[in-house]
Amino acid sequence: MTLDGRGRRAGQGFRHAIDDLTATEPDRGSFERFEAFRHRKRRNQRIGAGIVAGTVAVVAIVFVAQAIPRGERGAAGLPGGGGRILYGDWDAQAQRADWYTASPDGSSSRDLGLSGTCAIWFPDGSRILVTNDAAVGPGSPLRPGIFEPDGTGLRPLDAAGDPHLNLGCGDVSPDGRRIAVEGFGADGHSELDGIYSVRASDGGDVVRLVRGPVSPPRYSPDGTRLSFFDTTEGTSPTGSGALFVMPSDGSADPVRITPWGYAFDDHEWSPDGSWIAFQRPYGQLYLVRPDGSDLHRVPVELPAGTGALNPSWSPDGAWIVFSHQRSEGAVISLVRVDGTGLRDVVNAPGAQLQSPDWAAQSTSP
Amino acid sequence: MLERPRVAVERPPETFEDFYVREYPAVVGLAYALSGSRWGAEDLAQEAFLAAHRDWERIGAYEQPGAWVRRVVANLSVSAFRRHAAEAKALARLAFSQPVPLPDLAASDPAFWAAVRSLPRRQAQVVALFYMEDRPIADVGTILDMTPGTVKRHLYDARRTLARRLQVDEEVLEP
Repeated sequence: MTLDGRGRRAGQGFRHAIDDLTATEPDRGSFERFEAFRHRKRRNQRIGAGIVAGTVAVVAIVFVAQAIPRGERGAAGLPGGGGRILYGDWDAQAQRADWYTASPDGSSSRDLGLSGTCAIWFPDGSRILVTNDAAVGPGSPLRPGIFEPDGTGLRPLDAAGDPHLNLGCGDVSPDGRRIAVEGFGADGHSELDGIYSVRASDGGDVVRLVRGPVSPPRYSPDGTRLSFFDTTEGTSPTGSGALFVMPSDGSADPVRITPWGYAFDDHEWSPDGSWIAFQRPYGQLYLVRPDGSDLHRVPVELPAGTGALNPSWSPDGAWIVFSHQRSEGAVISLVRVDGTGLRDVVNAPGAQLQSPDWAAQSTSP
Repeated sequence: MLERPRVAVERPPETFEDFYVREYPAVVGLAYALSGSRWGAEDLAQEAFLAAHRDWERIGAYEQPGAWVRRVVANLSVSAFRRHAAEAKALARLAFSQPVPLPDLAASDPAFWAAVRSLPRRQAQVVALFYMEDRPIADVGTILDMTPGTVKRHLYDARRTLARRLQVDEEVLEP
């Protein structure tokens, strides 16, 4: 068969599949979903950053004051050892998030004025690593950038030379010298996909550690290992995969530490390096040892129809903060590692709050 | 950036809903073919329709509003960065709900479509519209705002690359 013949047959098969889709999915139902999509977006646009911050601060202060017994509070009377939680508010139109920080009790929320797909603290809480989405354009692939904790002082990490390689979400090594990021090819250069390490000072000295997987890697607290999520064709449920651990210098092959289908996207090491928290599809918080042992669910009963995403540890390792997905939006919630103490930390009607990251040390709000 | 809107014509205005209902399956299919993301495709298609909805008075008067929305979704879908983000977000929503059952569009020669997605973005767009929608060169050019000669050149280059990657005979079709 010629290429042209194969293309026409593939196209015909595609059109038939679309006809099936039309037949099994009533058109009015699709339009209702469009209306829901449009209303959700309008609602989100009405929620200004100032309103979010003000509402969050007032509600959270009252809520937390009532909800947290004094004996559970850590540094400065806050749960989890103090520090600040970085989190994003997803903007579906821009396909990236606006970023905020808040105290672990939800108070003193601050709009950083940052916009990007991902953001994460440096391990010492001194700076924030972001995807520098605003600089993306023709001939300018995605690169990381570094901001001060107050959202000022952008320093692009653009020393990587390859114009076909996008460098996206990632993590900073504990010594602050290297950044591990997901890399993916532009303009069809999928052969560039993989996990990369770059110099934290300028984004140069690009080293590919693994070929293939495109997901944000995470450093172990001692910096010797990296973990990442990967999926493979046919893994069920949809979008799921497994977690892998490898030496952070790429000196040995990755080792799979969860069964296929048990993990989903984001995860994080505990501060002492003994656990990795992750989401088992769909929406359940799980823990596993870095060697794959002791896999178990965090025994928290989330309300029906809700799920947990993007887990991150408190500096004292006692709490997990996560994006709590609900039908009306997503909020930032906390739960103890033993599954008790579930509470909302940051909430704003209709917002899609995601990807919380708890700074290891206290930083100025 | 979308430029050079089509010429407005004298005809009764179509409602956005009618337009959406008619075009949605093909547009989400185009998004899927170009993005490879079964779940992100709907978000990409919704974004494209939302862009049309915002300015429907103008876009609805175009001779081919369907071409306009296809151009938007084609551009959204071939951006690796946007595709990645849309897919992540769509999958995130699965965290608290069971997936909506959809026909398995990947059953129609997934290797071919995977190879299409590995092409440079303009070539991928041309091939998807030419084969998936079975559109003539002139229509593809209208949608992507290219001259017919440019469409032919992209199609020629794409076929050569695809034939090599898929290890099938290349029927030599001059650009």
